[in-house]
Amino acid sequence: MTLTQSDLQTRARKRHRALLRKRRDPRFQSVMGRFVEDGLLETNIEGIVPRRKPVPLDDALWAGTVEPRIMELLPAVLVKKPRLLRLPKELPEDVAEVMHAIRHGKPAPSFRGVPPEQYLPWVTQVGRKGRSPSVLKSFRFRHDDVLRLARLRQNLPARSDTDVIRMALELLEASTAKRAPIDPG
Amino acid sequence: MLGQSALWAAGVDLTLTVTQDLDAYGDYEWAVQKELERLLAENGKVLDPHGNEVWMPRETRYDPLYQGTFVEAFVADADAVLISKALKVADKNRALVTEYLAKGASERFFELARKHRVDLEQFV
Repeated sequence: MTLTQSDLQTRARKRHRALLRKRRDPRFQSVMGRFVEDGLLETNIEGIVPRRKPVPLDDALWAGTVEPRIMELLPAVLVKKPRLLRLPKELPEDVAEVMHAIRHGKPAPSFRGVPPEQYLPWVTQVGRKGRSPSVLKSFRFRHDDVLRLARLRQNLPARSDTDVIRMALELLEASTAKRAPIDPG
Repeated sequence: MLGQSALWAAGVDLTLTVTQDLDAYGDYEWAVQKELERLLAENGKVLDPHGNEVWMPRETRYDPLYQGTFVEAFVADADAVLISKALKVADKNRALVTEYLAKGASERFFELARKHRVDLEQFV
């Protein structure tokens, strides 16, 4: 570090003033107000009024450059709560690409600087909780496995064979996964 | 309690925007965790399942937030939370750290920044 604490403060004040101007922009205020109204974000930014009216996608993409948490939520909102947004007839290519990846369980690309590991967890939290778009996968089971699945479905609070497999996967992951340290949010 | 929620709970004089998730180090029985999750859900919040993996400086102070018969809750101090954010997720927290510097960051913050080699110039 070469700047003194005083220099840092002087420069920071200038940058902070520029940021305040962006936060006063009507596009930012309306997007933030829409996300607050839906309970996706909480903020103490002055002047944010919760609003029900959909906001243009372009405004949301711009507001996401001011507040990264908006950008982090956008892919999930696009797929699970698109009524928050007013979508243009033709979606930007990267927007269409990220929506397709989420809907079809394809490898997810980074979205405007947000890596998939940051935006994908919101897919299950936004809209109907715990739900992400399901993907068709087929497996070949032996007869014993099918009987075991049926027994488990009866003994567990499971509504379907898929529920049983989902529970088993969660349990298996919890008991074996070794995750690398992650960054704070 | 860690992260943005900790700053919110501590009532720091900073502009905050928080998502629905709560970052926390949890040292509790399964039943306590489930009850915490239920209470959070009542308030539209979710417990971040990776909270225990958040990096915090060793020097973090945890101030009492709630004292119950069976459960105690603590909140990480703001300087430590901001150092964690500045070091690990600088891009996402650029505005927050810049605002803190603009408003006059504490000596402790600068000490922690030096110790953990946080490049504060990237925020100005």
